[in-house]
Amino acid sequence: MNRRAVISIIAGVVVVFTAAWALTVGLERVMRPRSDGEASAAPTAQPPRPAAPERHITATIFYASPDAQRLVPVKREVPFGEGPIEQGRQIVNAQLTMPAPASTIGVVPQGAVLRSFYVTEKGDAFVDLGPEIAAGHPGGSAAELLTVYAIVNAVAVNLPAVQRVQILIDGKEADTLAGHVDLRRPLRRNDAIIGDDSKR
Amino acid sequence: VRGAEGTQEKDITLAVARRLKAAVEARLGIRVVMTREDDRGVPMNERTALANNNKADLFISVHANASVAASVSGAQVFYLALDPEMEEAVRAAEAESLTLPVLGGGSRLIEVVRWDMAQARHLSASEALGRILEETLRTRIPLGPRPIQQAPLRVLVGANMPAALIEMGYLTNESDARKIADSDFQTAVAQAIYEAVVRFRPQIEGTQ
Repeated sequence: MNRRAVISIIAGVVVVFTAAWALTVGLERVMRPRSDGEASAAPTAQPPRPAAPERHITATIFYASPDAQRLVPVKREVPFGEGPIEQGRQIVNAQLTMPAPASTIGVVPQGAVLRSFYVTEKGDAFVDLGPEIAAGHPGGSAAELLTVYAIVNAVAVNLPAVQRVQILIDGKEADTLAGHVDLRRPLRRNDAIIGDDSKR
Repeated sequence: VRGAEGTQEKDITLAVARRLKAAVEARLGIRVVMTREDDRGVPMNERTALANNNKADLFISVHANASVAASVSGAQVFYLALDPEMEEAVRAAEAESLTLPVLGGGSRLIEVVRWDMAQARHLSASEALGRILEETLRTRIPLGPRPIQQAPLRVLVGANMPAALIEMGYLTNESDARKIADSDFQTAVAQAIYEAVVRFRPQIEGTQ
């Protein structure tokens, strides 16, 4: 066998192996499922979906008038809650935490928290607040009336299923928040404390 | 309530009550029972129980106010507001008067009064007392923007007699806090309450 014949045989073997490798790898790439990385890199991949927007309702939240004699109703966007109990939680949380808009004054001490919220079949809502609301309250009949009725009105005005609202402190029935307003029974919404005399 | 300069509601109210007691007892010869004579807390039920057990003719609760707005000033008078359900419950309870046998035969009608809502039957008299207090206070000290109000105040609920609560000014207001700490102001408040007692007295005697 001459030298030329040997080179031809080697070249033929190389061609056969190269063809076999190309066929094997190519088929594997066609058959293998694509990984996430490959999919996102592909020019035909779908763009990521945006997160579903959080649903909101417009609720009435109460703050003090500049002279602190009345409650001012303010429309605020509050997260949607499924059913009166979850919606009630969202409304009370908004009343406790949303800062007062310009020309009004907040009536709930900072740091007040909602422990739980429930509604009975009779339409009595129970708002169970942490002890912070009592500890941080300045006291006085005037300030206490605004705080109590901001919470009572926020629940009773926004939830048609609720007729009366009782505030509990730290899971228990309380005499008062800071020595004045009777909290031992559920309270009805108080429309007389809303607005100002000039608009009546 | 505590004022910015350390004035405390409990001290001021005791000082005013002592002046009032001295004036009423000395000038009218009427006995005054204080819910406390020193620096101690008295539970709400004990305050009205003391008045009820002593068969008091009037219950006057003296306070100093607080506001979320430092600009608010002036005195305020409160009388009790009751929900319709409570008024209904009181009527139902009153309808359940008891007839008990007495020694020697016969029977006696015992009036049933629920002490947790005894004030319900005195609401109109309490409103009259409140309006007189508003008038007498107005002649001696500045009144606030809403000088008389009806509210569900805990301390008034159990009083089985005409009752009112006086907030003599705002300790959260710098000017009011200074005034309230002044002995002339305290005398003026006591004098105004004394004058209200004098004016309301015929109504008490008319019902006895």
